Parts: sequence; C-alpha cells; structure tokens
Amino acid sequence: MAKVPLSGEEKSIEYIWSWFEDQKEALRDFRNKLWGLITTSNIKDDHNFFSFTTDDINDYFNNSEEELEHLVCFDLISATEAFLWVDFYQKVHRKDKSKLGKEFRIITKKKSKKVKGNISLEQDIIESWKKIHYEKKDIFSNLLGILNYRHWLAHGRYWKPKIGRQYTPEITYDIAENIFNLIDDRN
Amino acid sequence: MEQNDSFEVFLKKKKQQENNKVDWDERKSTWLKSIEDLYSKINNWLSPFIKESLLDIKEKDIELNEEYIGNYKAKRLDIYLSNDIISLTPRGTLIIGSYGRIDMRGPKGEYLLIEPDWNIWKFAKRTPKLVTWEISEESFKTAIQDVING
Repeated sequence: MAKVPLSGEEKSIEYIWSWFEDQKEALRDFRNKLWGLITTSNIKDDHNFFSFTTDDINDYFNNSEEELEHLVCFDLISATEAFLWVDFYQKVHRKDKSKLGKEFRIITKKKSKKVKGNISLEQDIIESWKKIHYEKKDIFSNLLGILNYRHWLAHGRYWKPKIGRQYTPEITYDIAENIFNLIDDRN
Repeated sequence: MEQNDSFEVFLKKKKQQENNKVDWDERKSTWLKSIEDLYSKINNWLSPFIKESLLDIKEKDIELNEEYIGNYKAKRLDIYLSNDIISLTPRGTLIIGSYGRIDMRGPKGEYLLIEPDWNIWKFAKRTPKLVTWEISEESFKTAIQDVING
C-alpha cells in the first residue's frame, strides 16, 4: 500500500471545544449589542438588522446557535474520523505488531487486491476495533450511530435523518473523547 | 481623592442613565396613536372604493408583548378584496432603526411598513438587501396589488 502523506493538520477536540465556547460568547455579545439598538432610532436602513423586532433578533440568534452547534458537532466527528484514520495508517505503515495492527494489514492487503482505496472507516476500521476490543464495542457503536448524523450534515441535510437521538455538542464531545482516550490508551 | 472623583463620575453617569431612560408608557401611547393615524390615512385613500363596495376594511384587536412594555392591545387592519385578505399586523415599537413596524401580508407577498420617525412611514422589503420607499396613496395602492398578484 502506497504511503498516504499525512498533513498533521488535524484538529484536537479540546481546540474545537474552546473555539465553540468563544463563538457562543461572541454570539451572546452580538445579541446584546443588537438588543441595545432597539431603543435607538438613529440606525441607517442599510444596517443588516434594520427593521428587526426583538422576536426577530431572538429567532436569528437561536437559529445561529443551533447552526453553530451543528457545525461544531460536525467538526468534532471529523476530528475523530481523522484520528482513527491516522492511527490506521500509522499501524499499517509501521507494521504494528498488535492484534489490531495485524488486522489492519490483512484488510489493506485484501482491499489492494481488489479496487484500490476502498477501505471503509465504518466497515473496516471501526469494525476491526469492535472485533479486537470487544469489551469497548459500545464506544464504537456510539460512534457508528453518530456517523449517520455526520453523513446527514456532510451531504447537505436534504433527507429526513433517521437518527436515534438528539446529538448535542456535549454528547458528541463525549463520544469523540471516548474514542480519543481509548486509542491513546491502546497505543 | 482620585477614588472619590471616579465615584462621583460613576454616580453622575448613573444619574444621566436615569435621565435618558425611555418613558415606555409614553412610547407605547405614541406608537398606538401613530398606528391609528396611519389606518385613518389608509381609510381615506380607500374610502371611494369602500363606498363602491369594491373592498372592505375591518379592524381587529391583537395582543402584543414587548420587552420593557409588557402585554398590550393593538389594532390589526384587514383589507377584504373579493376572496382575498390583506392584513396589516403591528409587530411592535421596539424595532432596530425604527419607532414601529407593521407587516403587510397578502396571499402572494409581504411588505414591511416601518416608521423611522414618528408618523413618517416607509415601505421596506428585503431583496435580499433592504429597499425602502415612501408610503403614499399611490404606493399603497400598488402594494395592495403586489401582495395580491405576486
């Protein structure tokens, strides 16, 4: 298998979370700033929020917060995917001697005989983790569950998603953190 | 000494803030009166057509709730044209850049009526940039046709 050039540009979930907190605060400040404008009338009509009622302001910021949460969840899931892929490539390239490393190399060999580049995160990498570390299968089941939500976000949300639960940034962070901790522990 | 000075500045600032406080009861009354005046103008513009039974106008009480003011009643104006209804619904007086806003909604369109100065009304529409123009007898009649025909 040809070596995949890794960028090293993956984001940590801590960085994403800290950015999320900053953006929430920025939105709060912006909301307060606009609330301050409702009692002044000397706002020009080219102001983006001209003619907004207080309900409009609230709706706008509630939607913005919801949107921010979707984007942060997506970012957290992407970071988790990247972490799993990097771990996979490192195990394959370094010929890792662990059970999982061997399993990854078997998959790589099998797949390279067929069509190149068709290793699947869900069916190959996550399923291997579940198989080798069966005692931790729930952590990966949770990840598989949230990937449905990730696909919905990544592909433009055009269908009604069959997502078993409401994924908040907090829940998403927990799922991601469990994966990061497990991989760190096993390496 | 310096501390006392800054305390005095603080107190003066607070006093100034109190002086700048909006009289919300007066604001509400002026807003409601300005709605009444606008409806009266509209009534005058449309009265020849009402007399000919080409359209009809009715006012209905609606409940509004705004920060600082609380619950209060305002009038919605419904214009009946054969099977179509155009509603002018007051949205409130706490509006960015305006003393009030009324939403004009017909079966195929919507305009905002904003009040940048008391009793000075303008139409507004996002296209997506906000465009405003004066409300006059002529522009109001055009707006009626627009929100009905699309």
